[in-house]
Amino acid sequence: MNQKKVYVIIIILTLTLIIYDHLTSPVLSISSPGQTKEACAPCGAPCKEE
Amino acid sequence: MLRINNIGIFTLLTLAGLFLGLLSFFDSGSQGIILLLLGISLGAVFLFFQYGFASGWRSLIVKKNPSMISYHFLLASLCCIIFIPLIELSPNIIGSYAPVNLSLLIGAFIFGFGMQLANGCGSGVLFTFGSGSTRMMVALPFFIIGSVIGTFILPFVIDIMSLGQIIIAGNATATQKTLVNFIALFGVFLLFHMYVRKRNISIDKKLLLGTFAVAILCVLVLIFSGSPWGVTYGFTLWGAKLFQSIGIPIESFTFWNYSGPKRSLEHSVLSDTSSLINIGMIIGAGLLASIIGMFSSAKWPPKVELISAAIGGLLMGIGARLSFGCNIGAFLGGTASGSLHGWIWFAMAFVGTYFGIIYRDKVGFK
Repeated sequence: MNQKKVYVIIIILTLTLIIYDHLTSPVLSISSPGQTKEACAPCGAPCKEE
Repeated sequence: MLRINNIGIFTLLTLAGLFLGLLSFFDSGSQGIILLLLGISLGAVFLFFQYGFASGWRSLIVKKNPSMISYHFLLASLCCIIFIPLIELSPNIIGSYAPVNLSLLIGAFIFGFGMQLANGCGSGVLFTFGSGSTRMMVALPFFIIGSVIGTFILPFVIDIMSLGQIIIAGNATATQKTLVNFIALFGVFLLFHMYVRKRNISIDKKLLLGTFAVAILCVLVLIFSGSPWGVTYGFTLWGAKLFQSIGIPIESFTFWNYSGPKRSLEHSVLSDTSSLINIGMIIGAGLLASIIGMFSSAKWPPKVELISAAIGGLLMGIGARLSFGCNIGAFLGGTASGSLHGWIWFAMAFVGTYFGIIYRDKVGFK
């Protein structure tokens, strides 16, 4: 298939999924998982408890 | 001037950007739109300057040319001058800190290997995908799948041989800490730069300018988001939401019960910093590519390259989760925040890159 067509399909599909997710999920403030208190890494994973 | 055959792409991406920007604005106010705009700028800047990590590292190993990699250290040193004081002085800004452990070593190695197979790192996959790269149309979905697989593994390995977070000059004042980290990063830049001069390799002034542009954008991301720029968590979240939508109980896995990931899984993808910037990067690169005629018109690459891209994407995804990020989140964000894990990530990913290049040679990947 033509690469441009594949690109357009991916973009439209992604956009649809983002909008669906946005409309069906709550939105609070924008944040990163690393900004939670117990996060030990940017992904939000905690450190070993001593 | 717009190329007629790319007006369709330009229109599609403009509408996508406007629509997502408005959605984000209505729910999260100006912060959402600013982060999306910063992502768009990053995508355009990375594409315009062809600011690559994978090719730069390969250039050092294959051509003995450290020009590009020297700029990566210059970029980190420029960022650290602003990052460390902001992190130290502002309670609302955090650094990119992560533990030094076995998963960091293995994950970074896997990432470096995969980066050469896919021919791009986290940011590279995004901006080249945005500009229509067929290889990245394959690599990106596998990157997303790989990063979700990484979340299944991470909780079992995160504590193995863990020394916890190690902050360089951790007990020093903010000024001393900034100075120590700046000297280390700028020192590596100077070493590489001296080698470039010694070998009479011409200095790429465009890339130097690109380095300053990326540094400014990275600082703005830190200021407006409260944490250093990271790419791969966005992929992880997208994958988790997709897995969830097909009935896989992602929410019951350990990783997704940590409070940060749990929060992002339960909320809109547009309330996640990394996702907003990633979406912006794709749009920004695509818009610029369609305007200046850089949108890829290449045919599909040979099967071996597509398979390599898929394996590379998968490995980068797993590696990024195990090693707490990619060249941006772990290396750039880590070193610029003064975290030792950033340096270790670089060393291990570089070893992985070396073996990735050997693999490329073996399969005839050009």
